[in-house]
Amino acid sequence: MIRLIGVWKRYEEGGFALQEMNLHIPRGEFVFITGPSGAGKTTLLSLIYAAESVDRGQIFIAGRNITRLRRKDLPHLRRGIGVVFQDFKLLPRRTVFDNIAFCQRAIGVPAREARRRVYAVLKLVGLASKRNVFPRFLSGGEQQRVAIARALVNRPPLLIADEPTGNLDQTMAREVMDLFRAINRMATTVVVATHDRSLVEYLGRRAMRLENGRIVDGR
Amino acid sequence: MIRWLQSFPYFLREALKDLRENSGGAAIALGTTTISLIFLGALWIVQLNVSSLVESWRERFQLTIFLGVQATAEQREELRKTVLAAAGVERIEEVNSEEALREMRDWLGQDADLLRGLDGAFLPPSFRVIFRPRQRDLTHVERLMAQVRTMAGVERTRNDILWLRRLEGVIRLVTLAVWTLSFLLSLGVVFIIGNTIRLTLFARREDISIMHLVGATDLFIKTPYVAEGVMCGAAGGVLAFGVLWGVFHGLFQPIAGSMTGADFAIHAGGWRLALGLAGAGAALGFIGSAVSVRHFLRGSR
Repeated sequence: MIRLIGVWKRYEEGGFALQEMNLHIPRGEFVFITGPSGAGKTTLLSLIYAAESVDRGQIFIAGRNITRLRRKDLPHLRRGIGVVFQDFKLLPRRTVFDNIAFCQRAIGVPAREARRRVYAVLKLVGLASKRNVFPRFLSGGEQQRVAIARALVNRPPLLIADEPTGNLDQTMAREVMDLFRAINRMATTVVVATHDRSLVEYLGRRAMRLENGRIVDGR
Repeated sequence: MIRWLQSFPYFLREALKDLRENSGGAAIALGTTTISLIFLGALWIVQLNVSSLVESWRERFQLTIFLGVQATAEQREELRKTVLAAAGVERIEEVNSEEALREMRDWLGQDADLLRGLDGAFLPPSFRVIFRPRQRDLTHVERLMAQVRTMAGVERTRNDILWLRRLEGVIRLVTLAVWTLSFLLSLGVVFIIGNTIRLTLFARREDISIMHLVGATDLFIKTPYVAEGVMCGAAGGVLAFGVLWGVFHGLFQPIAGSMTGADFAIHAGGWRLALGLAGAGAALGFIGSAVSVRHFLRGSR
């Protein structure tokens, strides 16, 4: 699903975020990327969903070399990747339902089909009853589940999460991890960046440790 | 493209929603756009009427060829053939001395008594050359004049060509001024609408970044904001027409009508002005918003 070959990425302010990185994540796998702050976890994920570009090397997503991607092909790549952030990135002026439906309409899904998909995904994350609530009235765990629902609504084969439990307590964090596990069972490749070793131990999945832009363990 | 067309109601809803949520900024943009388009519309009305006035003078433009009293029938026939063969000539009318006297009496009206006791002998016979409507090329007229002046039997010619030429120069100047001012006002409208859309884009930057993230194409991201600019411009155009129509029919026309009489009617432009202003507003709104959105998206990826 994901293959990195000799990837280098330099910080704008100098120094390397990633150095000679080689990585392979097969389709359907659940992988943790761990490491301390500044290890290069976020940069690695940003390169995978093409928010940033490599300085050197190649990245293949589902067999496609995204380092040679034309600007007009970027939206099509992004539709195949769900992204979840630590700070949820929900739109405060829109309800739970609209936060997800908005993303469907923005890629041209007809209203009726968008409604059907949003209900289905809200049911999956257990928030169907809160569809008309605004994000500020939800707990952190619920907000993150809305963000996960939004990432999943396009039915992407790949889900990426950057410190998704960073703002949650341990109970909520485990709930989110359980949700990721359920999503992974539906054949979605899941990549989660976290510095919380307890979550890795909780799920017991493959983990790669990054330090100074290099994989030092779990290749 | 089909998805884009199918999503048009969504784009319009989003644009209207943005306008509602940013009603203060939208009202300022709409107001200034309307004022600019009122000036633009007023300039168009001025140009339309000046051009129409000149055209009406051109329509009535005639060339009169006065004949000498000794002009023979052959000379007259030769002259008639030459004139009718010239470019742009519709017909030629012969006016003998008696007819000329009758026309002069009609023209003098109540003062026709001045001609009492006179016969038409003091008025030379003439040919009146009438040109085809919309084919009054003054160069043709000048060429014809030069040709007939040298012909036997012709005493002199009379026309308003010099005066018309001067008037055309003034019209060209007015047209240039109208276009220059229209261009500057249009730039103003583009800038105002573009700036309003830029503020909206800034307020919606989180929505836009999420749209990028979920794979929305630039076209899908742009369209609601461009639609917002087009709506603002078109609404400004319609309002400007409403104001101009009200001012023209309510205030200006009654006064102007009494001044110009039946000789010349002042036009407001009617539905053409309405369509022109709404279309110009929409086009300027499109340009302003499209430039802003393009600039914003380039920096937001």
